[in-house]
Amino acid sequence: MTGTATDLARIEFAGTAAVHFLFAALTLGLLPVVAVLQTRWARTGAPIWERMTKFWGNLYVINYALGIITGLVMEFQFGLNWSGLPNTVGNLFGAPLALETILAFFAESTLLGLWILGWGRIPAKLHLTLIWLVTLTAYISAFWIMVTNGFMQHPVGYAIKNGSIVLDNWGALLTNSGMFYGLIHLVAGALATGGFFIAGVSAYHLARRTGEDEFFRRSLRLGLITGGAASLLTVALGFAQYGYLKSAQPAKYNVINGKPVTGPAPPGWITTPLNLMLGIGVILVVIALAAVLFRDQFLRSRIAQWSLVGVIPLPFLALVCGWLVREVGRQPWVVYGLLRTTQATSPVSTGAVLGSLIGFSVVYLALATVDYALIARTVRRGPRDGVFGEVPA
Amino acid sequence: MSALLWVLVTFFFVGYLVLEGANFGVGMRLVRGDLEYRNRLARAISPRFLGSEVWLVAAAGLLTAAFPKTEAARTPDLYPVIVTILLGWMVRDAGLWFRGRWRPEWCDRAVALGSFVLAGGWGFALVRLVTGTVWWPLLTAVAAVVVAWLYGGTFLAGFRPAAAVGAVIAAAAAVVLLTRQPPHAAGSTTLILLAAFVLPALPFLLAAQVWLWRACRRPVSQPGFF
Repeated sequence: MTGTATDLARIEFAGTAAVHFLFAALTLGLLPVVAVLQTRWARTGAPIWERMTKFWGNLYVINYALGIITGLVMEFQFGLNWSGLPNTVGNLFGAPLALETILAFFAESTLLGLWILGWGRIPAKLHLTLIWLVTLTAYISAFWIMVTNGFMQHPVGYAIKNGSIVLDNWGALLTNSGMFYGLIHLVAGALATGGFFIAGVSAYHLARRTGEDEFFRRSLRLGLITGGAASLLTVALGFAQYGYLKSAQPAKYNVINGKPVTGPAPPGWITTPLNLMLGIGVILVVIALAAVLFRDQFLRSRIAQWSLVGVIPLPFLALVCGWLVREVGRQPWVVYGLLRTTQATSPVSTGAVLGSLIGFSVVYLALATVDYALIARTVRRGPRDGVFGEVPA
Repeated sequence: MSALLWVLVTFFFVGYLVLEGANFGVGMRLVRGDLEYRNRLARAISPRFLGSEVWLVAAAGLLTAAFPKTEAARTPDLYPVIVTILLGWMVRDAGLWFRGRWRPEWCDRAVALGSFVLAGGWGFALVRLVTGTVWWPLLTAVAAVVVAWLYGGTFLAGFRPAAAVGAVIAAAAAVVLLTRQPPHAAGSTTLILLAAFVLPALPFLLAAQVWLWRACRRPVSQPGFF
C-alpha cells in the first residue's frame, strides 16, 4: 500500500471506529440500567417501572441499531485494509476477535432479537433473564475486544517460532495489563455516558414541564447516581493507568507528560484530546458533587436542569478523546514495539481504499444522522410513545 | 485440529447462507406492493435477521483466527465485491431497523436494494474465489438472486417447503466448502484456544437460535419495534 493509501486506510478505520464507539458505549451504559428497571418491574409489578423499562429500552434498541451496523464494517476492515495484522500476528490477534463474535456478538444478537420480540410472548421471568443475558454478553463483547486491543497496546503471551509469531501463553493474553486497565476505564466511562444521557433526557422533560414528573424525577435520580459514581470512577481509573503506561509504553507516557522522547514516538497533539478529556471529567464530577450536596434543590433548579441537557454530548466527546490518546498514542506501531502501522497494510491500490472510504463515509454519515434524529424524536415524545407494541396475550 | 476448525467455519457460513438466504428473498420482495403487504413481509423476517446475520460474523471471525494467512491472501482480489456487500448489508439492516419509525417507503426500498446486492454479491464472490474468473461469477450472481427470490417465496409459504430448499442449499455449499480447506492454519495453541471456548458454547448458542425460531412461529401481527 502506498503512503497515501495507508493514510486513507487509517482515516477509514479511525472514522468507522469512532462512530462505532459512540454507539457501542451508550449501549454498554444503558443496558444495565434497563435490566435493573425491568427487574424492579418484575419484583413490584408497578406500572411506572414497566413504562421506564420500555422508554429507556426503546432508546437503547434504536441506538443499538447503529452500533451493530457500524460494528459489522469494523471486523471486515482488518481483512480488507490491514491484512498485515492477520499475516504477522494472526495467531494472537484473530482468536480474541473470533471469540468475541461467537461468545458475545452471536449470543447477544440472538438474545436481543428474542427480547424485542418477546414482549407479551415470552413468560415475564424468562423475558427478564433475557435482558440480563444481553447485558452480560455486551460486556463479554467489550472484554474480548479489549483483549485484542490490549495485545496491540502491550503485546504479551507470544513466542517466535521459525520466524513467525505464535500464541504461547493464553493466561498472559487474557490477563494482559494493557487490556485490564483500558477495560475498566472504558466500562466506567460507558456507564458515565449512559448515566448522564439518562439524566440529561430526564432534565429536558422536567425543564419543559411535559407532565411526566414522577417518571422523569425517578429517572433523573437514577441517571445522576449512575453517571456521577461512574464519572468519579472513570477519572480515578484513568489515572490508575499511568503506572502501567510508564513501563509498557514509555513514548506515549513521555509525550502526554511533556517529557523529552527518543526513538519512535506518537505525535505531540495527543495532549489536546487528553486535556479535553480531563476537563470533561472534572465537569462531570463537579455536577455529581453538586447534585449530592444540594439534592432536591439541585434537581428542581431550572439552571441545573438545562445544564444537564447541555452536558449530554460531553461524555461522548471524552470517549473519543480518550480513544484518540490511547490509539494515536500507540503510533507509529500497530502492535506496540512489534509491528509498525505502515507494515500492516494490505496490497491494495489507493483507488480501492479511496472508493471504500467514500462509500462507507457517505453511508455512515447518513445512517448515523437518521439514527440520532430518531433518538432525539423518541426523547421528545417521551414515554407515551407506544413501543414493543404487542399486547400481552 | 485445523480440520475441526474448518468444519466450524463451514458450519457457520452455511448457516448464514441458509438463514439469511431466505431473508434476502423476502427482503427483495419489499421492492413493490402496498404498505400492508410490505409490513407482513418485513415482520416475517425482522425478529430474526439479527440472529441470522451473526452467523456470517462468526464464520468470518473464525476464518481470520484459524486461517489468518488465507484471509489475508484472498481479500485484495475480492476487495470491491466485499466493500459492495458490506454497503448493501448496512443499507438493508438500516432499512429493517428504521422502517417502523421513519419513512417506511424509503426504508423498504433500502431493504430490497440491500437484499439484491447481498444475494448477488455472495453469488459473485464465492464463485470468483473458487474459479478466479469474472464471467462465471457474473452468471452465478444472477443465479443467486433468482434462487434467493424463490427461496424467499417458499419461506413465506411455510416452514416445511423452505426447510427443504434450505437443506439443498446447505448440502451444496457444505460440499463445496468442506473439500476446500485452506492450507495454512494458525498455530496449534491458537486452534486449541478457539476450540476450547467455541465447542462448549455451541449447544447454548444453538439452543438460543432454536428458541428464537420457535418464538417466531406465531406471526407478528401488530406493529412492534420494527
